[in-house]
Formats: sequence, C-alpha cells, structure tokens
Amino acid sequence: MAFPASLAALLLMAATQDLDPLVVDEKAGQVTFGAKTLKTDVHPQLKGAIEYLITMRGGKSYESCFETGPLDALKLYLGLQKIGAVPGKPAAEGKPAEGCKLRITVEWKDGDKARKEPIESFIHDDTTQKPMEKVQWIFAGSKGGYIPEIDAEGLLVISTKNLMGLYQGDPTPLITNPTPLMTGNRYKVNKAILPKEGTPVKIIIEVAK
Amino acid sequence: MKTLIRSLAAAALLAWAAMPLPAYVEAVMPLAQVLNESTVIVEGTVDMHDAQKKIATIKTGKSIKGKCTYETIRITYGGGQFWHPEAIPKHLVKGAPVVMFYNDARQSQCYLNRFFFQLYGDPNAPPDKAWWSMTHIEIRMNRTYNGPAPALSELVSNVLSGKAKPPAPAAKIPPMELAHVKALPSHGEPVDETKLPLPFRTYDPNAKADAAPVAVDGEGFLQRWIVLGPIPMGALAADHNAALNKEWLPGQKTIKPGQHDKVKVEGQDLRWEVGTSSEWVLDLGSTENSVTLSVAYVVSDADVPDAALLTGSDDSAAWWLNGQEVQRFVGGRAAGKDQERTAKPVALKKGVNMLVAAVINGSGPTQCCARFVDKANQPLKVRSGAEAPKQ
Repeated sequence: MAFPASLAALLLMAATQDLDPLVVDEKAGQVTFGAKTLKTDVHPQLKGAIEYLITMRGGKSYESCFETGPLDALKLYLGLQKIGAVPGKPAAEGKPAEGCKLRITVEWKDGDKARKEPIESFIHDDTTQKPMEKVQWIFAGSKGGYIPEIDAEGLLVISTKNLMGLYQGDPTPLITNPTPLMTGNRYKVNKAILPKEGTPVKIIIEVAK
Repeated sequence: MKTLIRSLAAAALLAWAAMPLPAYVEAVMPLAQVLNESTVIVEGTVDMHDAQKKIATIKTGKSIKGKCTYETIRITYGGGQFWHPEAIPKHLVKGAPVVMFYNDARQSQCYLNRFFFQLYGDPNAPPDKAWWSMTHIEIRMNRTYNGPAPALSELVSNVLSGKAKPPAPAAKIPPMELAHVKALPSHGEPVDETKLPLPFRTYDPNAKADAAPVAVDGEGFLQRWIVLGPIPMGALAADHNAALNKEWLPGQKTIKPGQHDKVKVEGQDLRWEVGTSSEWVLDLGSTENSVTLSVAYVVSDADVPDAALLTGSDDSAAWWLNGQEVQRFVGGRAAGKDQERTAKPVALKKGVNMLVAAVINGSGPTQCCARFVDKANQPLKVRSGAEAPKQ
C-alpha cells in the first residue's frame, strides 16, 4: 500500500509546483493565485469539520479545502489593497471582525469543461444542512505581531499560514467569514462539488460591489 | 534508491496519524489514544521565553516514543486563539518540564505544567529552522491527564513499556477557563494540591466547583450554569414537544438547585453539577435521546423591563424565565448563537432571576447558549451563576 500513497504524494508535489503564481490585475480588479484541493476527512473523529478554506503549505491544511503553492502572504495582503480592498480588524474583545467585503470564486477544469463557483459553495453548513449561503468575505487583514521566521514585526498570517478562515476566533487569517462565529464544528467540506484531491484550481478575489 | 527514499518520505507525510485537532478536543480522550496517535513523544524543558515577541523554545531530551529529530522546538504563540496567548506566558518558565506529542504531519499536543496546548509545525521545514504555531490550550484535555508534567512523562514511559496501564479519563473534571490557568502556580512556585483550581485537581466527586455568578462574555453570553442530566427520554424521544411539556422534576420551571443536590429522575440517581460555557456555548455531553436541565442564576444590577432573550440549542429546547415559558424550539440542528429570540420583551428584575432550559438531544452533541439584550440590541452585562450571590 505504501507505493500508491507515495506516488500520490509525488504527484501532489508536482501539482503544487505547477500552480498559478500570485497575480494582481489592478485593471481587472482581481487578485488571483493557484491552489490545489486537499485531502478530506484526514481525521475521522472530526467528522469532516474544517476551520479554514485556504491555507499555505505548513498551515492547518488538514482542516482546509485548498492549499496554495509557494505564496507570499504579505504580497497577497498588499495586492488586495491594490485592487481597492481596505483591510479591517480581526475579531477581538467581543467585537466581530470588520473590513472590506470580498467576492471570492474558484475556477477549475472538470475534464474538458471549465467550471467556476463561489468559494462558499465548497462548504457544507451543518446548521442548514445545505451548502453555505452566498456571502461576502471580510478582509480582516490578520492580527500583527512578531514573526520569528523573518525576525520582524508583521502580519501573523505569515507565521500561521492560514489565509482564509471560517471562524473569527482565529485572528490571523487575512480573510474571514462574515458570520461572527468564534469557534465550532458547523462547517464541513461540500464533497458534492469539491474536485478530487490534488486538483489545481485558480482562486479569484475581487472587491464585492 | 533515492527515488525510493523520496517516495517513502512522501508516504510518511501522507500517513497522517489520527491525532484529533479540531477547534478544541471536545471528546473525552483517553491517554492511551494520545499515545497511539503520536509517532513521537519526547521530554523537554522550556529553554527560552520572550514574552514581548511571544516566542519560546523547548530543549528536547529523551524520546519516549519514536525519535525526535529536533534538538530545539521553537514555538510562536502570538497567533493563538481567544484568550490563550494571554494565559500561557506565565507557564513558559525556563526549566519548566514539558512532554511533546506529535505525529508525522507535526500536529502536536504539548503538555506544560498541568495542561495540554495544541501546536502545529511544518514537516517540510528543516528542524533547525522550523517554528511551531500554538493555536490554543486544550481546555478539556485535563480530563485526559491533569497532574504535573514530570509525572506524565514517567506514566507515559511506564505505559509504553508495559509497566503500567493507561489511566481512564476523568470525564467529570470541569474545563479550564482563563482564570484557572492564571491561578495555576507556575513552575517553581509552591503548589498546594488542595487549593489548585478544580480543573487541575485529581477528580474528587465531592469537591465543589466555583459556583458564584460571573460576568457574561463580551457578547453577553451566560458563562456559568448548574446542570442536571442526561435524563433518558424513553418513549418521549419521538415527540420532543411532549418531552418539553413534561415536568421531569417537581417544580422544574422554578427550581433553585444547589451544587451536588441529589435527585432521582426516571429511575436514575442524578446530581446537579456546575456547568461552564466554552466561549459562548454550554456543552452538555452527547447522550442520544436525552434531556438535560440547565439553570442559571442570572443577576441583574437593575430592572430591565424590555429585554430580549436570545438562545441557541442543539437540538430542541424550552426556556423558562422566572417560572414563565418564554421560548421554545423543536427540531434537530447544531447550536448557533441567537437562533431564537423571544417574540415579546421579557422582564429582568433587579437581583436574581431564574433561567431554566430543558435541552433535548436526539443525536450528536447536546449544547445550548443564551444571552440577554436590551431594546437597542446591546448585550446586557448581567452575571450568571450556579448559585445565588452570597450576601
């Protein structure tokens, strides 16, 4: 059984290297970057519960839908500002997260067919037993602090490597869910739509109009 | 050969052991499970702590299971969740012993002083460059173990060598709150076992938890309750409405229970216990087809004639305020904030108000939450307790 698993891992690694880089298109008002779909149900006892939508390599990818290729979180933060998104604040002291509202979509190839869906479509909401309702995501901008990897103050997302969160209890993702839940087990992967593990996708972020 | 080694290494990366790392470890987790799901268990000591930068290092020592390839484990806790970055610095004392548990994917629990905290690292980062991020203290894993770290190290060694059996979890130990972690003596400070906060003491069925009313959280959610259950619903499992109409205890709607008061319900001997919300939600276990009674002594500093009660529940629930039913939900769902709101204003009187909830669980978790807001929808800064305030 080890061989197929290792082969899958190598294919995944290769897929990661081929992912689209970060592109900031000010004219189109879009920030885009590549990611790949992650393995679901890594821990059976979590019963599919996830905390994040997009993580970087080294982040909590076992509780996420998509993992980016090599990506500079600070460049993403600055890129979002270049398309007009103003960062706000993560949730703190009983106040929910605030910031510019974003629309985020995911593009991928399903065989020969190009598909595009809002990123929330990939989340199953256990409360409603339906895919997560359409939302505009909050550019909270990550809490700041000391980043040991660069020996400087900065955005803690650089250290935690979780770009997009589903719960506001984590103050470090750049982008968070507008539903002001601090923690929980409400969100799962919507397996009906998530492409198979390792599928390359393009994440497209725009300021919500 | 290189290809084979690369393949095996990659396979190891994929072979994520089933160490459970959700928001919190909610299930009662036996130590045996922690041991099984860790590929490496290593002793260590806190070597450096910089409270300004919110970083610390652990110098590793003897590997108890597997082989630790890190001489130093570097921790950053500034990005931790909730109140946890505030609670942990007191305990990151140079020389404090720790026990690290991790798997191939560098999902980890670190045992420091008398509590576990969750960390995750990057398996691809070189050991001398890797930083591990703390997410939170495991507020409920004190049920797995809550003694001193050196004793855990010895226990783990003995279990793994077959000299001892892993202890069963102590399911009734209450979860940790910020105040508990702050009150826990740090490494090197004198420890009086009888005065430790309850979450860190050996479980004593007769020890009483803090019951006095405490402030609500920032959003107004009640934090402290007194709880009875689970009560098996029997034939009423099929009819939640009827179950909510039933008085499971005489005078249930106006009951004023005391900690450890004993009652017999549906042929079962039960006892009222203090319940503590985790952030906004009160966890009441997960017994299928059961009803649990949750009571809060709600203390208001003023008369509020036009408040609203906002609740959430998993699953059905009925709520009585000062003896009057003010809200009911019948159905199955996960608990969320503010799922229900009283249709008409409710009155809170100055002093103690009794809020009683009957929460039914069909399957999955049993949970509820409640907060009061004023007519401007602002959270009321009441207090809630498992007893009335002492005069």
